[in-house]
Amino acid sequence: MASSESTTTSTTTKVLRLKSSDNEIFGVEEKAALQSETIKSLAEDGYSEDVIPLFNVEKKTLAKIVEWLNKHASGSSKEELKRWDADFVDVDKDVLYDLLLASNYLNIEVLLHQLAQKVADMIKGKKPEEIRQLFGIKNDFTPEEEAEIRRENAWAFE
Amino acid sequence: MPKLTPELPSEIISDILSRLPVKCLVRFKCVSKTWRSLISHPEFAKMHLKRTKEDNNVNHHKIFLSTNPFPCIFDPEEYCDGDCNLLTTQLHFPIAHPEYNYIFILGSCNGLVCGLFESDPLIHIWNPSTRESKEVALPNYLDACECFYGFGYDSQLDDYKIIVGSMCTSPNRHGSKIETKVEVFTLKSNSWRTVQDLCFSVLLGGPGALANGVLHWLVTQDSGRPTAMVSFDLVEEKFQEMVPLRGLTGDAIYWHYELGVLGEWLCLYSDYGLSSDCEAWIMKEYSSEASWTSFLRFKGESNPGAWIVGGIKAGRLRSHVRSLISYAITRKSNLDSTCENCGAVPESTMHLPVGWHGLQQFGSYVDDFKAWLQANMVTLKY
Repeated sequence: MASSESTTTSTTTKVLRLKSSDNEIFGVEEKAALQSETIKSLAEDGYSEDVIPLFNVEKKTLAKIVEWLNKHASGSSKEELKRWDADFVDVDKDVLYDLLLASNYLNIEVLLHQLAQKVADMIKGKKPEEIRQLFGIKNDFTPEEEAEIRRENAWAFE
Repeated sequence: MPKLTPELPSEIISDILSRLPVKCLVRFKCVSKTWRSLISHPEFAKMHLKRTKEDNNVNHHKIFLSTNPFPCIFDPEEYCDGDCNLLTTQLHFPIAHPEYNYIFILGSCNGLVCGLFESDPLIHIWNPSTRESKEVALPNYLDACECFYGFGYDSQLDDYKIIVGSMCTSPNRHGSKIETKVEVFTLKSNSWRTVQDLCFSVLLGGPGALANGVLHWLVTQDSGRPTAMVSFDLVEEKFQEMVPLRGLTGDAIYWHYELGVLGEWLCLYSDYGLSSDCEAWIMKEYSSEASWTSFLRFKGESNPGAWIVGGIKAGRLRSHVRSLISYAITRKSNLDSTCENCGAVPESTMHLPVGWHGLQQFGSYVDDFKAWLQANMVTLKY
């Protein structure tokens, strides 16, 4: 017990302060925060002593991102991380959407891949009209053009 | 309150879509004009191909079956009914030529299959996953029974190539001389040209096994025993030195040898024809003669007309009983095992449809053929 305490106190860990677009400040250990390429380059540009402003991420999304960064820097086993990640991405589509945009902005490749895979699994069996609704996409084909594509690729719609 | 979602940046959309199976992507072409052009873009096809190759999921590997009157495809993982009969999907193309009854498969690469219709010759390249095909020009001479041939991708030119070599032996004062003529087809130019001849006097035949962007053929002696491999680099368009296959088959004399590709390895398969034993080797380190390793050996089984199917699994095909037996050896560690079949455990047996006469395993990729050609034809103009 005593020996484990001495090892934790002997390493001083630097904490970076991340500020969300709505001005909430999150303290994150450097090792965890630097998994984001964007934060890494901002820190290298001299922001590390001060607050790092993340203008594109709201606090509720940043809270989730910080949770992910901490977990992935915690030295959990592969199996444990896999289970944890599956739970982490199991959220409704609006949260997923915000996380996708944030991890893209923050350039966290591993997280971005996990989220993209989650969305891919979600949309795999869907119809085009469901996709439009899910992504808020306007159908810009004329009915004739759409019918033509469906006719050419009828096998894919079976 | 429903919120107005801003459109995701196209690089995120591409990332998501690159993880989807081809059938889904074809369906999603009618989501919007942006999605259609994204999915049809050659760069997206490359991304999808790369992603699918990284993913070791066997489901991307399907089998192209040359059947009468239409070729068909099947997925060895998914489409078996309760009696293990394969549920195949017919490919109704090329629609204009239903009378062709035999397709010689010249090769397969990046999810494309290249085949020759035997009667009234025609060469077609298919992307069976997107149901697209394209007829290509014919070489000056092509008889699949007498030629050696191959199909592959030139990564430097971003182009697909077909190679056909025809051979004939002509008697001369010193006995007989083998004459060859080698032609290469490039898809972007849709034309054939003659390339540097084979500099060794050997007889080659049949389809080349594609590994590392290089096609390989066996050089066999009169006894039928392979002594070496000859390879053809698709980028350099040159034949390379023969790699000897010294001592590979030990003292055993097999009747039938076949070179194939298993995962990333070259694979040599041999059997006693109508008799019982068969054995297969893989070359664990490319072009290292010492790295040939026996990984599959069967003794005392009736084994008529079997051959290895390739892909990322080993398959054994019994032509008489029309069954395809697949072996799971997807993990490299299995190959280091010392047991008789090196951990290759029979996984499933499937019955092929009546009237099949050739098959080829291929990956399932979205590569939009028409778009690829259009894009590349444009670059050719400059």
